[in-house]
Amino acid sequence: MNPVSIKNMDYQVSGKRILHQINLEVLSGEIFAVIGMSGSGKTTLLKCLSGLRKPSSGEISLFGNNIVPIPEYEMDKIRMKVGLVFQYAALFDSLSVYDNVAFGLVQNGMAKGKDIKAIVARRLSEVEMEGSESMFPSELSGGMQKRVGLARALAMKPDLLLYDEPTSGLDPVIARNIDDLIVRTRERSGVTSVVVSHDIASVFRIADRIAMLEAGEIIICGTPEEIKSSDNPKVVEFIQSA
Amino acid sequence: MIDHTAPQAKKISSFGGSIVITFLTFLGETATLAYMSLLYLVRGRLNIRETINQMSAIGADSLSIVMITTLSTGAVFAYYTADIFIHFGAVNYVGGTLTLSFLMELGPLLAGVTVSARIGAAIAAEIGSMVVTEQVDALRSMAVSPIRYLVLPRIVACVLMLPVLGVFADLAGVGGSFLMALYHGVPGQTFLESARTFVTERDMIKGLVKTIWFGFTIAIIACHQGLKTEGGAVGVGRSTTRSVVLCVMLIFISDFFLAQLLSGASITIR
Repeated sequence: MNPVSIKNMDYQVSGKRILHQINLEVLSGEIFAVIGMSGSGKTTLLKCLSGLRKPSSGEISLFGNNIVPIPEYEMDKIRMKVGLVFQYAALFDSLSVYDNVAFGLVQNGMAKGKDIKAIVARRLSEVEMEGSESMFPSELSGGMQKRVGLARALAMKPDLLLYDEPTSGLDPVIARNIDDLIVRTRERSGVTSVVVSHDIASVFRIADRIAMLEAGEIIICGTPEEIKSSDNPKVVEFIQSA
Repeated sequence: MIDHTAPQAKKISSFGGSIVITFLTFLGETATLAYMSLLYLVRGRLNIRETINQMSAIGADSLSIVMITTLSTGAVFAYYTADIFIHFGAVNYVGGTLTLSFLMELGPLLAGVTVSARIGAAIAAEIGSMVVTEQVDALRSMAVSPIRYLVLPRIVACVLMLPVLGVFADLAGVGGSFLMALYHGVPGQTFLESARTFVTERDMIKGLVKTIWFGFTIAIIACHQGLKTEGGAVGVGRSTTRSVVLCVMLIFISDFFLAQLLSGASITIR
């Protein structure tokens, strides 16, 4: 059973087609990247995968459970196994770094007192943000916010990590650090990762397999080598323009 | 001959239809929000820490503005009323009339309107900003219901704090009236005797019952508008404005019905 399986998925808003006939399988432990131009539907696909948007039709199975027809309270049980790293980190700006990372654990009663402290310290150390516990999101740079966002997603020990544009808006050095962090996280915990990005260089560095979205449809899916050697004009144009 | 009225009639009916749909959607969504909040409350899922934070923001931080508003309104109200009453030789009625007006009507109403402007706007803006910066999605992605974490504490805090603010609004309003009446030559003892004669504890309780409803209305409308925010900073501004307008409108409308209900005569009987 693959952790992620999408079959014939469509997503429409006010009659406008955003995603059309999406079929994907993400294998256990792999880093799967979805690339495409801005507005191609990448983030929407990620939001559908995390259950934040309901597809108009089709099926999304996470760990064997079709999440499309289930109500919110049942979805919450599946969300415990899924971590989402947002494009702009989406840290709670009224809470400190410590409270942000501990948030899911506290709210879901997954750990108590000293255990929470230990988990937060471990996760912050994994993303090289030790000592930042008392800082607030407004005091952090974009790269630091993304690291804390990753620590927050890791705190609940997910089996599936979803990354929305993890390197966008970052300078090349920080972007490379984030890439290394994604690979290290997978190596350390064996977590399955889905990365949505338009940063082609980053994706070629980290992904085991890549799918490309064009106007809401998947036009190619394969290993980085297969993507690089594709003669599909849209793929060639996207790679060359990067 | 071409009939030009048909497309116009169609336009008007479709405009009317869209208003009805918008209204029904609004009713359905706010009712669902209230129902879901109640479910979390009954299941004991209230976030105490967040509720206390909200109570502090709503209560302590709004106290001065509520008191200043009602104090000055009380003084202005007495300024006009006292003169007329003295002119007609009804000095004995000044204290009773002003106190009764404040306890049953002006105190709760002004507290509600002031909190709508200050807290209703703040709630809609805060939740709206959280929506556009994906913080609400982040809550959901961590299996935390925004209704449980954001809406319920605000409803509970508003429902608990509005009556408290109502009491202070009453005190400040009556105090302002008293001082202005004294200035206009109404003896203090007469003012207080008149208030004691005309006003009972029940009148004050009736006024405070209104504030409970106003608190609930402000919280539910502001949270609903915040959660419905779309489109960045402009959207946050739009939600905030809409929240204040709707809260103030609904407070005035519901005040009319509550006045009928609490005075023991319903509209249907009349």
